[in-house]
Amino acid sequence: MTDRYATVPAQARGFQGQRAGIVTRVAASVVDFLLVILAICLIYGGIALATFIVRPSSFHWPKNISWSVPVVYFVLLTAYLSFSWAGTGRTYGAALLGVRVVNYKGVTMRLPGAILRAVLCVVFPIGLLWVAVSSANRSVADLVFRTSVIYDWSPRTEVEPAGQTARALPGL
Amino acid sequence: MTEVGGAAGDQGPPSSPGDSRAVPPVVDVAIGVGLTTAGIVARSATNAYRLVQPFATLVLQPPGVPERYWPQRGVDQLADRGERARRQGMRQASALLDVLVPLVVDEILDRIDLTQIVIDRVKVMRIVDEVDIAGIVGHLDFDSIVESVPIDHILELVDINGIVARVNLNQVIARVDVNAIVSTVDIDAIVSRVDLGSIATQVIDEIDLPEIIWESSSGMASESVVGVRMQGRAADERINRIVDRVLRRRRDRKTSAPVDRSEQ
Repeated sequence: MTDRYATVPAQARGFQGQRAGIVTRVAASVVDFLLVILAICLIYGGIALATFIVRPSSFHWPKNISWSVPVVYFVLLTAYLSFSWAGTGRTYGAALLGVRVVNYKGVTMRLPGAILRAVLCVVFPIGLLWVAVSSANRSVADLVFRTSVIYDWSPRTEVEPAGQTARALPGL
Repeated sequence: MTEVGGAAGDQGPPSSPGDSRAVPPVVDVAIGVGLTTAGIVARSATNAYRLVQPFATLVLQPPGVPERYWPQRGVDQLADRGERARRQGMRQASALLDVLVPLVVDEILDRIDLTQIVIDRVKVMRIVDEVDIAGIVGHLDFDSIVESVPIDHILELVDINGIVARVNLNQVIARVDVNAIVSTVDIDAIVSRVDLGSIATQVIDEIDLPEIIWESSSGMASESVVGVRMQGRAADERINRIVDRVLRRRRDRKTSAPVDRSEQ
């Protein structure tokens, strides 16, 4: 047996594998949110820059795109969260804060479940605050999909056999 | 050496270097006269025998006389009697010598220093030079000689500790060329016999290798990230306590998550 948390600092090994609290999870979510916002800004900025290059004389800031921002936000954030959770179990924010999403078996989620959980988290982000109230540090999404967000400072991201990951991420 | 007259002394044979006794000249003269006389007598007897022999045969074995009456028979009988007497005398003399010789020899040996005589007279080194020592050594069977030596008994008699205690080891060590000895050692063979795997395992068990890897790793595992995570963890605990106090929750939170059994 290999100790998964052998490379974790000694003072942090005691709580590895336990469900993370509200502050850590909100911080990770904020990081992910900012990343998506940054990505959206880059997308729209890129579009504007392309328009300026093509028609510099008649350039004006894109109009009538406000309807598309929520859609892009939803799609982008959902895809980012679902593929991150099904792939390594971590988004960038989760990796930075040292947490990981696992299913009821304690392993990384499969892609369908990850997509549904991502949709719920994007649509109902306030459900994350239930972590503070829950006696088991679980959010609404965790309760619905029987998932857990645990402290995991180990550098490893894969906790399941490669074959299962391949099934979870077809085409990747 | 005493000379025999002036002219005779000059022409005489030189005395041997080892002849230290003085011999009177009259003795040599007497010996010369005796030898000359003996030669004359011998030649005369030989000639007389040649002359007398035919007549003696005729007298002792006269023809026409029966053989049993020959004077020759009387001579033969006398010869036999004499021979018997001679043999008996020889036996008696031999028996007497058997008794007398040991007594005489013992008396002689008691009166002389044989060892000193050998030392004075015998040239030992000359004898040794004549001896083929290499040939003798070549014929020796050293293996059988060594096998016949009771080594264990000899070792029991030897006080090894006493001998070692008398040895000045510092002086011996100072004369030892350690570098030359080490240069003859097959280090590779020694290393190949050492179980480096088990030694490495023991060393790894003694040190906290994961901690070292963690401390030496970069990027996400930097100290700043660890600090942020630890602060987040502390804030989680603080918020949990506050909420639990507000909700009057007395039991601790169940934060244990499912464990991946494939990891066990």
